[in-house]
Amino acid sequence: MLKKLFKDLDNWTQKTNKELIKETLPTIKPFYIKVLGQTALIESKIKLNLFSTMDMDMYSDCNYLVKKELERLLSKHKKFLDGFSNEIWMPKETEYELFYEGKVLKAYLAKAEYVLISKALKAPEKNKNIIQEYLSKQPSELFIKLAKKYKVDLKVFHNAK
Amino acid sequence: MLNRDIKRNDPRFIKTIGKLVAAHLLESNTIKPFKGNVTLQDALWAGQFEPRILELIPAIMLKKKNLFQLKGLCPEDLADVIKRVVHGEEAIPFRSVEPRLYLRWVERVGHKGKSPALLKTFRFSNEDVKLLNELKSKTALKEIEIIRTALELFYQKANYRI
Repeated sequence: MLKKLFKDLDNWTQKTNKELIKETLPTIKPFYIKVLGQTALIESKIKLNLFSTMDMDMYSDCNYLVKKELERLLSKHKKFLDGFSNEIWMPKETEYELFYEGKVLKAYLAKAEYVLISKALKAPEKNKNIIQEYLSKQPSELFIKLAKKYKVDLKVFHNAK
Repeated sequence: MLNRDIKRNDPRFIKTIGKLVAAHLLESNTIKPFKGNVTLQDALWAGQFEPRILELIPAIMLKKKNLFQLKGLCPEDLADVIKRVVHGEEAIPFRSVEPRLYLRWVERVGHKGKSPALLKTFRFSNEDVKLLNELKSKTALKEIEIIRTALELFYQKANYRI
């Protein structure tokens, strides 16, 4: 669903740019979308039981017009943009994997380990089930390294009920 | 099997998630939509193990009341949360969920964009009214829609997001 949505957004931007050129107005510059949170985890096909509310977290440098169009496209799938996305903390070294590349839009997914460490550090209670499940399935070395660096006490999750 | 897994395999948990998936309020990569009956009590029980359920419950009670069957009285803490939203009083946490996390769903659940409206009174100058009327005729938007758009634009600009 998300890839198709990004393709539609890219097409819409190209079409809008053609109209803007005709009217000798400044065009929409190429932009990126970095998908975060549960949406990134679900789209990455990680083997965890995931439940997500219908909002999408992202970082983006898109302009207001694009954001409005993205909201319209998301609403067709009963989804929303999270109004607090810009407040989401992600490790500064977060790796993003290319998910969709259009003419004007490049979309990325935050790599699962970085999303999980962000959740473990900033909202441990809300995400304890996901983290517990992840820890029970042999966490990656990268995750353990990040946990040490950001002082995430993994014992809390092992002991949580 | 971990305690967490036992709870998550409980039919009350699976049905609650399935009901919310069917209502397009949650996404799940493991649980399928469920269209049968689920009681509010079961949903609250399931919410102990998945806070995203608790985030949605106040909005559901306000905007989509029939989604969960109510057996007996609405729990006192939930009734208090709902009363405060309806009367525009200071919101309080609902169990483990802070207000901003459940309030954002009030507009989004049920009739989109509708939340209990709050009355605010302002005095506009003649110039403001003239400008508003001009925008009304140019955009065919209602006055409140123009003001909302202006507020949103101002918010965007204040956050350097334009």
